Amino acid sequence: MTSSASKSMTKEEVTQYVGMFKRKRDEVIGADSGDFDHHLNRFVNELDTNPLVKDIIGTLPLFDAAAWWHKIDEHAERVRRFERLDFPPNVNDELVAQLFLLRRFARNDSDQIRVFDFGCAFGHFNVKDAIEFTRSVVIRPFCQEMTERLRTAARMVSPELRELVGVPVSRIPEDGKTKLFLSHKTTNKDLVHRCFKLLKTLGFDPWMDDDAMTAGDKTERAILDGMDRSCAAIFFLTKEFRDDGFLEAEIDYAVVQARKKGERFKIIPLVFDRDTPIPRLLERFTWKPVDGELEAMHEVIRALPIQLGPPIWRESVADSAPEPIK
Amino acid sequence: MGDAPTLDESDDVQRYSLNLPIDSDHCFRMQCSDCGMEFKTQVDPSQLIDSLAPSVGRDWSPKAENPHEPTSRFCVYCGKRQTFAELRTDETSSYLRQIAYREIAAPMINAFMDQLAATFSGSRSRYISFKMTRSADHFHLPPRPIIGPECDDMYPVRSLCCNVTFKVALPWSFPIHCVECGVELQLR
Repeated sequence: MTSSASKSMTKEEVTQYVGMFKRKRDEVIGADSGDFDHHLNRFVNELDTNPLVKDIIGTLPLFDAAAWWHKIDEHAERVRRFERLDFPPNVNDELVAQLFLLRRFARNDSDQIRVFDFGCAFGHFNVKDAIEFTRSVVIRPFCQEMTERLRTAARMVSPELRELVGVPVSRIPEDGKTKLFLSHKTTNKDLVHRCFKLLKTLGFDPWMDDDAMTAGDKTERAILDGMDRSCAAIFFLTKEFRDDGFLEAEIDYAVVQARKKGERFKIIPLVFDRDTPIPRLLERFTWKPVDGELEAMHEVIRALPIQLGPPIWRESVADSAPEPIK
Repeated sequence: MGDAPTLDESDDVQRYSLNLPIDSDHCFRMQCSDCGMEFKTQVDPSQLIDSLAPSVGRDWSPKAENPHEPTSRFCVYCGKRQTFAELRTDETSSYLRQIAYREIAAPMINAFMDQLAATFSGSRSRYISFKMTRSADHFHLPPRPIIGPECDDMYPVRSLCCNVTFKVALPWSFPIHCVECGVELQLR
């Protein structure tokens, strides 16, 4: 269990606190007899100062470890030695009892239990044996249990991270080379404008000859430049469409781009009227009869050589995250 | 260490189970031996056996229950291809060394010293009497190490080329590499 204090920790803080605990834990587990006391003191100090560890310890149910130890001590007095160390059966109480002993080992006053005395009380009369016994029955089990609890606590406070996408560099088009050219007859401007707005809102970069070009700009060179920066040419084939004049040039340039760029340039003829003759140069490209603008846009998005990215919240929405229900 | 080692009399094989920490997405931490940076990737437990051999020694090459081809991964940051053994973190290496020493080397040393003591105990010839005793300070088994926990401290990335998920430490403003095929990726 963790309290609300740990839930407010950042991911970086949690990682830092876990790392600090791990270092002190490994030092006391691996310490030899020469520096054992030093590392034990550092470990106990870490337990008392590490915010994440304190949080875990703080949520443990109350258990009178002093009374438990007093009972064991009293019994030992009667029988002249400790026979075995019986921790409480409840795992939380056991953790509290182990912590109690650890703190008594690290104390520097009359209440201190010296590790050597502790070991001797259980029949280990050599310093190294006493340390190993203490490590085996108190320190390591405590560390093991705390490690598990830290793992759980760390996962609970870590927010779920959205997966990023790693896109192969070869799949990333050059900047400004993913325009969509909308070729149409001027009389169909209203229809094409609606499609233009939809594509723009979706996140694509459409352009048409009347808004992309200034007066006097409407030259073949301008169309050629525009096509060069495009990855698709969409032809709105209505009954008004005629394969002549600028429309003829647009078809020609689109075919050149398709030849030059291969799969990275798509020609998408949309046939709005079934009786509309298909321009000869467009016949070899897959053309679709569409029943209205919605179906037309669906076919366009399916046919395009580019795709848009994962959804993100709008800025205004992201700033107004809902309060958690208490 | 998971279970205590057991000796299978039928084929003189000692079997060990080992617990190595993974994070909540079952990702295992790795460290590039070239650039030193850490990343995480999902691995099959049997693939990790490849990384144990250098710790245990050539005479005790670990064998997976279901052996397969040795596997390698590309470093996410520098793109260098390395085996699992080369991608072990310092923490994992230290842990494996301690486990191998405790469970294999130390007991063998103890057994050898016991045999030696028994061999020379009370040995005598006409001219020389030889006796070997061991002090009460019997060669201690080192304490069993603990490893973990593994935090969720990295950001998941799914590569579009191989559709695998791995994790990177951010911020990182340079291109990264797919752990599976090594191709250069940009984060989106």
